[in-house]
Amino acid sequence: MQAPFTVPAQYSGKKGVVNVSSVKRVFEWRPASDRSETGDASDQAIVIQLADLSSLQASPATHPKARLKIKTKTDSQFVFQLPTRPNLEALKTVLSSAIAASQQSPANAETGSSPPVKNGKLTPKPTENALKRSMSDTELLSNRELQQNLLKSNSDLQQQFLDAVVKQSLPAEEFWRTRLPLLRMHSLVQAQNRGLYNVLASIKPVSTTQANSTGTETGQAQVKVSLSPDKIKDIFRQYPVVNKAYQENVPPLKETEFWSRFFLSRLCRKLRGEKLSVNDPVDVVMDKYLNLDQDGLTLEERERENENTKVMRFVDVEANEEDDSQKAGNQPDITMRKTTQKDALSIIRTFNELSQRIVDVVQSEAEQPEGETEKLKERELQLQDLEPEVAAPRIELHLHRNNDSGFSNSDTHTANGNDLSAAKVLENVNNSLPHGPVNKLLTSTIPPASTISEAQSQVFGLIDDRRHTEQAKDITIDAETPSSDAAAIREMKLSHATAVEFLHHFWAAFLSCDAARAAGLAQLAASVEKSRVRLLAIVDRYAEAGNGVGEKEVARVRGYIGVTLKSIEKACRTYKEILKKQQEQQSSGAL
Amino acid sequence: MNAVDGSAHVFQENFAEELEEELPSLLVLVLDASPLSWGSQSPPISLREAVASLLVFANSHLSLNHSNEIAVLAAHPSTVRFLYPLPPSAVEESGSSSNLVRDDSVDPVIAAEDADESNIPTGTSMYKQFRVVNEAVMDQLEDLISKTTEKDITSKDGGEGVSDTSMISGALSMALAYINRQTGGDVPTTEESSAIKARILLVSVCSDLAAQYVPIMNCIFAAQKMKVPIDICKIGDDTVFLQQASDTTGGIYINLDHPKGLMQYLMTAFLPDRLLRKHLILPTQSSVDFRAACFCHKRIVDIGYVCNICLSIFCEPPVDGSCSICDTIFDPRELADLIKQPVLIPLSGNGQKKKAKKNKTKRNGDYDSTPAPATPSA
Repeated sequence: MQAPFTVPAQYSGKKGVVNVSSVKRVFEWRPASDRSETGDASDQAIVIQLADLSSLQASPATHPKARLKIKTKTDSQFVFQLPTRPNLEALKTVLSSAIAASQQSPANAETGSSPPVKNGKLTPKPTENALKRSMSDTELLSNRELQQNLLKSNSDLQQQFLDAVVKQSLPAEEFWRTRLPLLRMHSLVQAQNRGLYNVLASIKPVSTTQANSTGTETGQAQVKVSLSPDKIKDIFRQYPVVNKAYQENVPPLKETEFWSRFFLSRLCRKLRGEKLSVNDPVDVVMDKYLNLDQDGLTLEERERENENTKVMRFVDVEANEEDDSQKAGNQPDITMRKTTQKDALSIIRTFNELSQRIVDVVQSEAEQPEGETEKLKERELQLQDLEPEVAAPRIELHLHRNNDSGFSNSDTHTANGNDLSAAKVLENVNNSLPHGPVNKLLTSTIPPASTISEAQSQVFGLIDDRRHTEQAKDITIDAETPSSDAAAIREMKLSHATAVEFLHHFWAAFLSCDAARAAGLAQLAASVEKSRVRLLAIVDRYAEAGNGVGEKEVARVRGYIGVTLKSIEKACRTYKEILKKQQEQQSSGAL
Repeated sequence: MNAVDGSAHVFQENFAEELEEELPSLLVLVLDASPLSWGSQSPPISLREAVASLLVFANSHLSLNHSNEIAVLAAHPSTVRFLYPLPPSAVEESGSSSNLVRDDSVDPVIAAEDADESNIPTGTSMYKQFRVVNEAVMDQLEDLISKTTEKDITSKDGGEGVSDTSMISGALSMALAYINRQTGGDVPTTEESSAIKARILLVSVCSDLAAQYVPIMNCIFAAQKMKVPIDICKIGDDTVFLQQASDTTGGIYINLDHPKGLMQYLMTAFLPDRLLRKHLILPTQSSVDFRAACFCHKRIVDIGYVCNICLSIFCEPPVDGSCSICDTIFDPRELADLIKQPVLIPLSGNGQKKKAKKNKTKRNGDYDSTPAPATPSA
């Protein structure tokens, strides 16, 4: 936040003034005389963006003339001659710091920290760099810091990481390769910044009766206000008039005194939007700024600024004033009146202005090129009811469904085994048809009691199983599970998760058919085998522990683990088979 | 004053409909009349006993609620027929054998005296509704089976063996169409509409339905849309897709360990209707076989290839580079990726895996078995 730096200098023989403004980020040289002769290029001012500067060169100290050569990125160079050597040094330091500052900010945005505070205006943050930062897979994989951060925030993931990578030696790269979406999301979340908000509203003076207060002090009541440097920065950003007051008054006043006076003053009340009554204390220093608007500009300056902004004709009230029905009539509504003194409505106006700024900041980040927005608005305003209906372009799918009608043509030999001829079958069936009076039939075919009870028990068994499954869904490890059980359950869950993890990586490497990963594949196969052994060991340990765990429970647990074991065994088997085949191929091919 | 007010006993309008248990339900019974299974040397249960149990079950269903309805279909290798209620043409045909089927208003006792050509002994009093159903079923079934010729049941491709597959998909479709007609058509209102609630019970004995995969799946999805549960009472070996049918539609699947006790199974497990089932734990089998059949050979697969345009399942990557159902042409590089063999021994310079964007075929998932404890997400 430097003040503009000016120094006289000569450029190609013409006397002029060099102005380095870190606000506008430019390096300017203006000739001393304003009378520009007919289109002579060398008389015009030179404006170089600070971002374009690439290097500086100064004539050696022993040289009588103090010259500074400035090179830009586009390979053009300018030579300025400065009157004195100290001038040269000063200009050099200013320029180099300015260059360093402009190079810093894109780097800052990349690491996602909050942007540097701009002096005076709410300018858009340099997020274009942040967005362009590559989220490519390789970058995410190598970004150790991001991974550490993600692990710290997610304890489940951390546990899995510890188990798989640290204990079971799964290469970390494999671990992250399947979790790229997680990494990407995490880095996006990190890159988010907190948006703007109304700072003054969030600062609430707390009244305390304590003797010591770091904040404000009035005569009797002591009011405490807590201000952090961040908040101060935000206040300066949103209300540049405060900044202006601060800049101009702080060297004489102390900081604490400044803030205490500010929060009691009318200025603060005005900025908050509260009505200014006659009762508010008058503060000589602060009240100077009452007449300036939020940006610190006077009315005239504001008018000038407003002239330059373009207002869409659709909503331009001033341009449409000819049509104003209220012009010669009653005074317009209170919200429509043009008053210079912001009284009851100031709160509304304050909020509107603040919201507008916040929206502007966001909008400028997501802005489309100028022409696009105009076209978009026009398109949205057009009435489209009367347009002819355009059929949505669809691609028709024509399915060949001949196969369906040709069913029951494949071999349908049953597992009957008897392989009877068709005639015999028909004979059997006709014999077993029910005949005779219905009620006699029904009463004579009651199954024996033993069969009935067996059938009953099967049905009840099914119901029982279902009930267990329903209840088991709600099992969580809470305070009531006996500790040994809880530990066992957790261990089983963890080893199961690790086994699944290894299987995942194994199959990914296996099916990618990539020769480069063949070595890693062998290692993964070994790890898969190890995890199988581990799972079996855990279940055996659980079974032996007893603890009143019945046979049925153990059988059920084995059933659960059995599913995982089956898939592990399939993986091992497939690997061994293919390996053997390929080894044979290789040996026979080598021969 | 409220305690004295006696208006609670006054019969209010729509009282019956408001009570859930009073809503009628429609049961559609589909009997698998595959002659091979019933006519083998020693079937798990004889057809006679099975039909008797089914009739008892049907009668008890009708007795639960005065407005309950029932329909019975028989699935045969060559045809599907309604056993009850009879279509008008069938009524005329069988008019001679039993008047009672057709004429509801005739007093049973008087009619019994008249109908001396029928087998019904006089003097027996069976509830008329029951008798109507029972006799229709038995008569029609006898008619169907006795008229089966040898030609009907031999396998279509001219082999020697007897075809085991009945037209289950056809039977399911007819049942669903009947239900649709009875419940007032496609009414997109909420569940509380006073339409009759329907369910399907399929008694199946044949084991191989792979050839009918696509039609059966279509029926299953239609039933799911209509909220009609499909219960399966399986005698014999497990059939692949019927487990999926009951699982998807919320029905009960039981493979009978003791087929002779069919009556008991029907009365305990399959009798409660849809509304009652909300409050019960259903005695259905937990493990479901989710395998599908491939569209090209009707083989059952658990890992396969799926076209991402028409979602048809294949057991091997298509040879000619295009899907045989919807004719989309696949990216040849992607196909090559799928066919190539995994490289386990480090060789020198093999192909790289390319990521093409369009028309990738993907792999199907594994088949799901016993539910395992929840795994933490990777």
